[in-house]
Amino acid sequence: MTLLDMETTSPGEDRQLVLAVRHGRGRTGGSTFADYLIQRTRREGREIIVGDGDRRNATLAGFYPPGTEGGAHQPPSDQTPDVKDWIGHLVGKMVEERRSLIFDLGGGDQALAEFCRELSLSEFCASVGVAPLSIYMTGPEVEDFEHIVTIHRSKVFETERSMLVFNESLVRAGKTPQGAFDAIMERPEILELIETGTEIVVMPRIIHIAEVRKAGLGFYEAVEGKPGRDGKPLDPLKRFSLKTWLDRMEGQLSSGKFREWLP
Amino acid sequence: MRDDMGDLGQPYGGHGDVYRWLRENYEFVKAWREGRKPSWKTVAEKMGEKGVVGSRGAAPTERSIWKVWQRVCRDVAAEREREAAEQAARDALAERRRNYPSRQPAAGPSLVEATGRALVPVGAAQTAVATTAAADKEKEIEEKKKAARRKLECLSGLRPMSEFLEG
Repeated sequence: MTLLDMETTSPGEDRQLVLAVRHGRGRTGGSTFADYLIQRTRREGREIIVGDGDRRNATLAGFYPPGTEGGAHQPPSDQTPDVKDWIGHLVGKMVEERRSLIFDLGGGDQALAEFCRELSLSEFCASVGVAPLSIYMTGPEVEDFEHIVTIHRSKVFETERSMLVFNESLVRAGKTPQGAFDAIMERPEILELIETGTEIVVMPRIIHIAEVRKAGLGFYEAVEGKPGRDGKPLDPLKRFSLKTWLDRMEGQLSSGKFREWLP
Repeated sequence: MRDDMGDLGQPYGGHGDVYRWLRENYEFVKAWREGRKPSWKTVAEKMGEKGVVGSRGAAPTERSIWKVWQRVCRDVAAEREREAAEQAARDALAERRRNYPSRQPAAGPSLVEATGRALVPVGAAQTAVATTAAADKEKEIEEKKKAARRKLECLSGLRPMSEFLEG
């Protein structure tokens, strides 16, 4: 059986493999969103390969230590040729092992652009039946949005499926989300994205993320009262707050197109 | 299902039985998959019941049906896009014809009812239509922006989700 003949739906169900790439400026919450998506996918019993291409700020590799089961994969260096080879390696692994893949490339966007110039990743995905998904992250800053528009227009990683995630955690402290994204919503490019099929998602502010991270817990583990590194579970109020956050995320992602789009 | 008539004169000529069956049952299969989400195995069984066979005469596999389905979806989307473009071109032509000078009253300091509301001179009729079209477009953009803002506010919990679902 050749690579191109391989079945690309997950075993036991009629679900397509997904190659998700998170785009966006640094510190827009992309790694947190990716982490949530990884946990959600694995919790639902599906496998996903984690590609952390951000060598300078390897957040996902911190959560999923390389070399461990389900651990993140990292390129040997942040040099573009190395990152390109690494992208190719993980894409091959995705198809061979029939597991979805999520890339958090950070500054590796450039490597992805070069990779795609040499080989159309989107066309490759279509040929092997993998669904590419772009995840665009933005805070309230117009510059975050402009960065996304540039990537979207470049058609480097052309996808029919894309989601624009508004991160409320980036709304300045003391301000409410009301009107925080107005400057972006006034931009004509927002319609350009929506009309090309981009779906909007709001990632609510996570208040107790630092405690969850410090305890070394996943979102679901923390909510379920699993003890952290100090042997204690998160206190009930924080668990409730986190559960509310998870419910709001699930409410958005378990309906409509996302049921098919997500890994 | 296969016969000796070849593809001449048949819809979707040049394609196999699986493609043809999926095209003929496109809306059904689409709605079926969006609703109950049957596995491709079920679809294969359904095809088997109807005697649909693959290009080599064998029963189609789940994988082969899925691959043909991708092609069918692409083709249907392209066809609908083409039809919409053709319709838009026809509408635009009809709109232009309605405003030909020859269609306007010939004599005197002509006045035509260009917008259905105001009387404007013939020379200004096409400008008025263009202006109305531009205003409509602008209004449409504003409506879309408003809808996007409403969606964002609903997802942010600032408005009830019911407004988003209704919108």
